[in-house]
Parts: sequence; C-alpha cells; structure tokens
Amino acid sequence: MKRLATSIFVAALHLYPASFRDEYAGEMRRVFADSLRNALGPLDAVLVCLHAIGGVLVEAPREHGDLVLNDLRYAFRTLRKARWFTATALITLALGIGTNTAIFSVVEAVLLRQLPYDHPDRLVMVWVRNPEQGFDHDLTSYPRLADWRTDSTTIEAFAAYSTATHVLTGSEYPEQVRSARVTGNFFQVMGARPLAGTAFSSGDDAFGAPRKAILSHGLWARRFGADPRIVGRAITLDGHPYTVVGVMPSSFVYPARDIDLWEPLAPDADLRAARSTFWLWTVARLKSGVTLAQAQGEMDALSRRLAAQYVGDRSLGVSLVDLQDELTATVRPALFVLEGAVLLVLLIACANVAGMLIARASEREREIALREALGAGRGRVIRQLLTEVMVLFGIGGAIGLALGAGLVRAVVRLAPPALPQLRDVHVNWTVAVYAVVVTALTALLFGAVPAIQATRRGRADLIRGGSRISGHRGAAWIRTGLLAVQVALAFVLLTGAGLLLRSFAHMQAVDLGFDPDQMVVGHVSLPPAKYDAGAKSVTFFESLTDRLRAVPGIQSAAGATSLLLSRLPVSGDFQIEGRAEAIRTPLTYDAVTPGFFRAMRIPLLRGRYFTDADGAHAERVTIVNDTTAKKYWPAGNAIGRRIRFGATSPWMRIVGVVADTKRGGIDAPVFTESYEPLRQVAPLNLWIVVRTTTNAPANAVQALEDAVRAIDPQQPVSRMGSLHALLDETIASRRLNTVLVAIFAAIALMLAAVGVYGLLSYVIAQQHHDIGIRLALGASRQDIIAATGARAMAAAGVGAAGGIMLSVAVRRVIHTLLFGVSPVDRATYAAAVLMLAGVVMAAAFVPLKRALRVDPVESLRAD
Amino acid sequence: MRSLPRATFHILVSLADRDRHGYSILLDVAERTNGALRLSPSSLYASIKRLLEDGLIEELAERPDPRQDDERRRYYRLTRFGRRVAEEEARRLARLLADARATGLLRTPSGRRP
Repeated sequence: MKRLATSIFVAALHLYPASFRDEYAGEMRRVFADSLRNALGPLDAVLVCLHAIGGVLVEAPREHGDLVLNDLRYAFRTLRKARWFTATALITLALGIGTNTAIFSVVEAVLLRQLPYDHPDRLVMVWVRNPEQGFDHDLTSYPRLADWRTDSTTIEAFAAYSTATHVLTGSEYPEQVRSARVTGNFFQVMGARPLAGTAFSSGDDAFGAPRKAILSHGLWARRFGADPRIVGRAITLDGHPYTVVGVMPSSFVYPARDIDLWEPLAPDADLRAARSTFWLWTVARLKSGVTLAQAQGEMDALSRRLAAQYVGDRSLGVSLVDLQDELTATVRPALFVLEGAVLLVLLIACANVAGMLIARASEREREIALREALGAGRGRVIRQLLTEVMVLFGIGGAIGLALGAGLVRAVVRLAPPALPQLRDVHVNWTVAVYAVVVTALTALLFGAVPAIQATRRGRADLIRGGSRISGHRGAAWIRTGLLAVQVALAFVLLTGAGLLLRSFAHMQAVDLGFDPDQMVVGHVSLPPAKYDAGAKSVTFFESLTDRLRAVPGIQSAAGATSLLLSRLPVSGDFQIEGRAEAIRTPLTYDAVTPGFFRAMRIPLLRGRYFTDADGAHAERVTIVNDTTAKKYWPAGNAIGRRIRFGATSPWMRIVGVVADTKRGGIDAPVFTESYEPLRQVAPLNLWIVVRTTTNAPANAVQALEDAVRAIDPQQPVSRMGSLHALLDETIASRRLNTVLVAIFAAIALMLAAVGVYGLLSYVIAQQHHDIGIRLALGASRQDIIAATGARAMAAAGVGAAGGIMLSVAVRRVIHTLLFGVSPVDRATYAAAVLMLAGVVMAAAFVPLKRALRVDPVESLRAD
Repeated sequence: MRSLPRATFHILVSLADRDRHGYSILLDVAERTNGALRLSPSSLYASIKRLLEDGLIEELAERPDPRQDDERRRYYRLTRFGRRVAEEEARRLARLLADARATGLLRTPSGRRP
C-alpha cells in the first residue's frame, strides 16, 4: 500500500520542471516516505498522501512559471545585447509575416469567402455560348429564358436582369442613379431578403404593372437619411412615381456595387417575342443536390433541342458558371500571382532567419558549454534557447501582424473600382497565426536543432579550447545552401516583377488611336418621359456642345453613345447590300456628334466625317473603322456601299473610314465598329467629350456641369472626370498588381542581401584565425577575398541558376498577366541576374573589407 | 522590509538551534505549531529552494552525526545572513505583539491590564 502511494507521489513529481526534479525529487520522496511511515493510522496516512499530492499540484506549476519568467528575462537580456541580430531577425520576420497576412487576407475575402446569400454554392451564372459571334459568354433573349424556365428540371429557378439609368428628382439636386431591372423572382433566386419592406413577387414583372422600387442601402442612406418610413412612399424617377417597397442590406450589391436601386423588369410584348435580341443577364439556382455538371448536361441537351427548333439558335449553346467563380474571374490570376509572391517572401524570410539562428547557435557554443559546465542541465539550456527563439518570434510576429494590418488597409485604399470585393477585406487572424506558426516551425527546425547539437558539442570544444572551425563546417554548409535557396526565390520574384513592369510600360506605350490628353468627359442620360427619343434629345445635346465650345479654354466638344467599349459592347448582326448572307460577326454601332472624330483626334482614312447636313431626313449614313473596312471590303472599296442592321432597319451608306481605336481596352482586340450621326439616331444617352486648350480639367468639369444645368436644371451629369482617369480605371488593378509584386521583389532582394551579408560576416568571423595565418604566410589580399567571398559567390551563382529554372517552370502562373512580353523575356532575366549580382556584391563588400583588416599578429595571439 | 512568508519563517526558526534535514524541519514545524502548520514535501522544498537561492540557508557538505543518519539525506543550516533576516522578522513580530498589548488588543502574559 505504502509502495503504491509512494510510486503515485513519484509519478506526480514529474509535473515539476526537470531541473527542479533533478535537485529535489529524491529528497521529497524521502520526506514523503518518512511522513507516511510515521502516520498515526490509516486515516492519517490517507491525509498525508492527499496533502503531499495536493502540494505538488500547487507548487509544480509555480516552479514552471518561475522558470519561464527567468528564461524570458534572460532571453530579453541576450536579445538586447545582440542588437544587430535581433533587429535583422525582427525585420525579416515582420516582412514575411506581414506580407503574407495581408495578401492572404485579401485572397480569403475575395476568393474563398462565400457570397452572403442563401446556399451560394447553388447559384450559377447562365451564359449563352455564341461561338459564331465570338462571345463565349453572351447575354440571352426573353424567349430563350422562357424556354429554359419551362424545360429545365435540374434548375430550381432562373432570374434575369438588365441595367438602366434614371434621373432621381424630388430633392434639392437631381441625381443620375443606376438601376437593375430584375424579374419578379430575382431576390428569391439570389436568396437575399430586404432589410425593410418586401422583395418583389412574380406578378411585379408584368408589362404595365405598377412601378415599384427597392433601394440599395447606399442610396437609402445617402438620399433618404436611412429613414425607415421610406417603405410605402413614392420616389420620382425620370418623372414617374415609383413606390418604394423595400430596402436591401448593405451586404447585397448584386449585380454590381454601384447599383442604386432595383425595379421589376417589365418587358413589352416586342421584347418578350424578340428571340435574337440578346439583352438579359441570367442567374439561376440549382435544385438541391444537383451538381453543376448535371445541370450543364441538361442545358446542353436543351440547347440542341432549341437549335433544331429555331434557325437563330443553330450555333448557340449554354454555359453555366458558378457565381462565385464568375465574380472573381477577373481578379483570380492576379491574386494567385500575389499569393505566390508573398509565399516566396515568406520562404526567403524563413531561410534567412534559419541561417541567422544557425550562425548564432554556433557563435554561442562557448557560452552554452560554459553554462553546462556551471551545472545547468542540457534540458535547461535547450529550454532557455527555445524561449529565446519564441520571444524573437513573438515580437517579430506582433510587428508582422501590425504591418499586415497596415498593408491590408493600404491595399483597400488603393483598391480599384474594378475590384469591389477588396473593400470588405479585414485582417484574417487565422492566416496571421498560420504565418507566424509556419515561420516559427521553420526557425525551430533550422535554428533550435543546431542549438541542441551545440549543447552536445560545446563541452568538448570548450575543453579542447581552440579548433573552432572544425565543428562549424556543417553549419556553414547549411547556411550556404539556405543562401542559394534565397537567391533562387528572390530571382523568381525579380523576374516576375520585371515582367509585370515591362508589361505595364508596354501598355502605357500603346497607341490608343485617339488622343486622351487634356480631355474631360461626362455621361448624360436624359429621362425618356421628358425627352422622347427624337428631336428633343438632339436639340439638348447640340445646344450643350454649342455652349461648351463657346467656353474660353475649351477647344472642342462632342459626344458619342459609348466611349470605351465593354466586353459585350452594344452591337448587332448586319447585312451588306448585294450580299446574300447575314453577317453574324457583331458590328458595334454608336451615335456620334459630327465633331466627335476631330475632338478625339481619330484620323479619317478615306471618305468624309459626318456633317450637320447628315440630318434626320437626309440619307442614312455610317462611318466604319479600318478593321471593318478591311474585313468586308479588302479591295479598299468600302466607301459608297450600304449596310443595315436587320431586315426592318434602313440601309446606311458608308461615307467614311476612320482609323482603329483601342476603345475596347488596351489589351483587347479591336472590334468591327461603326458610327452613325447623332441626328439620325437621336439617342437619350451620350458621353460628352471636351478637349481643353490648357490642362485644367477642373474648370472643364465645372463648365460641363454648368452648361447642362443652364439647359435643364433638373438634369444631372454622371461620371465626370478626365479621360485619363477613366482609362486608368481600366488598368488600375493591373497597376496595383505590378506595384505590389515590385514591392515584394524589393523585399526579397533586401532579404537576400541580408542573407549574403550575414553569411559572409559569419564565415569571416569563423575564419578570422585562418585568415591571420594565411596573411602571415604571405597570402595576398586577393587570395583572401577569393577564399572567403568564393562561398557567397558560389551560393549566389547556384541560386541564380536555380532561380532561372524555377522562373521558367512557373511561367504559366504569370502568363495571363503579361502584355507584350514573353514570360521568359531574356532582357528581364538578364536584368534580374545583373541586379542580383550587384546586390550580392554590395552586401559582400563590408564583411570582405573586414577580412582584409585582419591583423595577422593579433589573430594569432588570440589563440 | 516585507514580512517573510509563514512557512519560510518557520523553516528559519527550526534551523535556528541546529542543522536539519527536510523531514526533521517538517516535524519540528508541526510540533511547534501543534500541527497547525503541516508542510507538504512540495511546499517544504519550494521554500528551501527559494531560501537557498536567496542565500538565507545553505546545504551542508558534511553530515552532522554520521552514526544516526542516512547518509543520502541533505542537511541545511542558516547562513549568517539568514540568521539576521530571521532575527529581524522575529523582532518585527515581537514589536507587533507589544503594540497589540499596548493597545489592549491582547492581555499581558500575567493576565492583568497594564
């Protein structure tokens, strides 16, 4: 019985730190045994046992706490003493952890976080596949939507929408608002409920149904002071009253972040019947348990049936895309590249810190051996070293997290409108912890293991006295290897940044085909109720441009229905007079004022520009771009030919051919485009373009606003600004990527430099003695440099070679982000090699100089 | 000077008249306090460790009486500093006791008020 009690007590003693146990366990066991032996009966014996074990449970954690506090104090003291080591390690850690925290937070928010709707995994975008017209993701028409709705069994419901602009009046200033016209079941399909009021229901989208609107959270707060009583009241859009039936929460921003309100889509009988008018976006909700592939299979079969039934559907297919994938498609490649870049930075940081810890461990062998010789157990010393590493990572991690939080905020501020998801990014703490742990584990592996070995080796070395070099060969080799890895990874980042920078430079240098300098633009959308499409809108736009031209400092003013073209520009099938076939390659059509081409400085290649004589009652005329002229009239005889959009529209005579422009985007191919004179189209929407004589966009913006107000005080202008700003928006995300990757590459380069510096300093410190002997034996300075620098140069060379191979291997990742540059561009690679060589040499300079200052006599005396 | 923890002071007191090993301290303390303070091995050695670290006691290199002693036991003795600290604490307590009597909180040993 007593033996059992004693062994339980001895087992409990294992709760103590080893150092305490080594010292007192035997004594305590003896005291316990004595107490038990002298117990006054069985009850007292039980009390003695409980008392003793209870004591252990109280005192053992206290001993651990004492030890940790001691170790912490010691760690802080030694880290403070090794100022350079600590500072470099902390900066390295902070950069690695900070950049990873920031970018992975972005990736998580944009790519991985689910959409804030019910069962978002069942939502799909339904695109028409239109290979004949060159659109793999095209819109659909109402009859086709109706067919899908009746025939699909795997899809629970289809919702469709298009967008519109309205003028919102009724308070001190008129405002142009963006609206999404949605089918009655839209909110049910999306799985989103209003914050206040109700969603639309299926009857709301009948033609002629009462006008209703649901406000976005933004518009509700901005225009109506977040007044909850707004539900049930009427607002005025384009002069018509709309009843507000609901307000959406701020998390609901579909189909776009700048949507101000939703209204029922109420197509008239013509649109309901127009099979070849592609105007509707479609989202659908899969039935529960149905996979995307099953639904796609059914839609394929359905498309084949429709193709057999309708001539116009002959070449059309359907492609279903997961909604989340659809929304992130444009940013995904860039985010992958950024994520890759920061992972490289993290790896480099890990290699760097590991190298530093190895060096430090071997530098401290004497200290460690001394402590052991003074009676500290090996476990005690290891525990101490681990505490030091933990303190280092704790502080480095904290700085890194602060840096990451700052970076996230910076990225959010720089976020271009094209990346709306970026605005909701917050620091992801899971990620942050992950980054800290990864770095800590790497460092423990590379840093603590050598430290432990040092405790093994240290005592013998101390006793032997000299011979410091022999024991460190291994450590030096590991460091050299780590340096090569760092150089290789830095090389990958450098080439990546170089390629992106070159792409960006190429984009800036692209000739747009028009001159965007000193241009100010704004969009005017006239309400149809007030300006029936026709004489009234033409009068408005013509008097607007006339007024603007009269303003001092404005050189020219003109207008066009679209300025920059989107992925799916307004376009249509057309016919050429005298040719039998309908041409299915879409031709864009834009109404322009006669002065548009001159104002934009788009050169005329043949024929003439529009004039005021091209009026509503004159012959219908058109101007095509060079691509169109070359494609359909390769002999160069486009002028004088006639084309028309569909059998019911009038023939238009081609009177001019203008040069191609990059309206569709710098990195997009040129569309086949056509223009018509304003007076013959009489549109309600027009982009106004103003060329100023001086570079004073603010004045021109004010003049534009004033001129519109002077004609109609109730008429707003939207999207005003310089044309350069508008163009910048289209490349903003590219610029952000480029800047970020360049920053990461700079960090990588800096860390690699730290690595080189550290390695050489270490090698030279270790070989101090050797260098002294060699100098004494008459070695020249060059010999010394060759002997000590060789290792770093070899590491850099091997690293660069590895880096080239790695860069070539991962070229596919960055491929989609490049413009006008090959992913294995030789000039970029050469520049990266030169840059790395320069940095390595610069970093090697200081330690090598130190090697040359070695005094042979002194270094020999030291031993 | 802050007062010593109770267990610590008792250990110092029990080492005042002679050097002792752990169990002997434990018995002595229990006896003097009529069993009110029973140290567990853990609290005993936690105190001993701290007293050693602070230099109030020291471990004896030789055993006081090899005949009656298990040679593995460790003996502790008060250092000069430890004795001074213990005296100081005892004086502080005595002063406190005197104060308690002066204010009438406690009766004098004879049982009369002063």
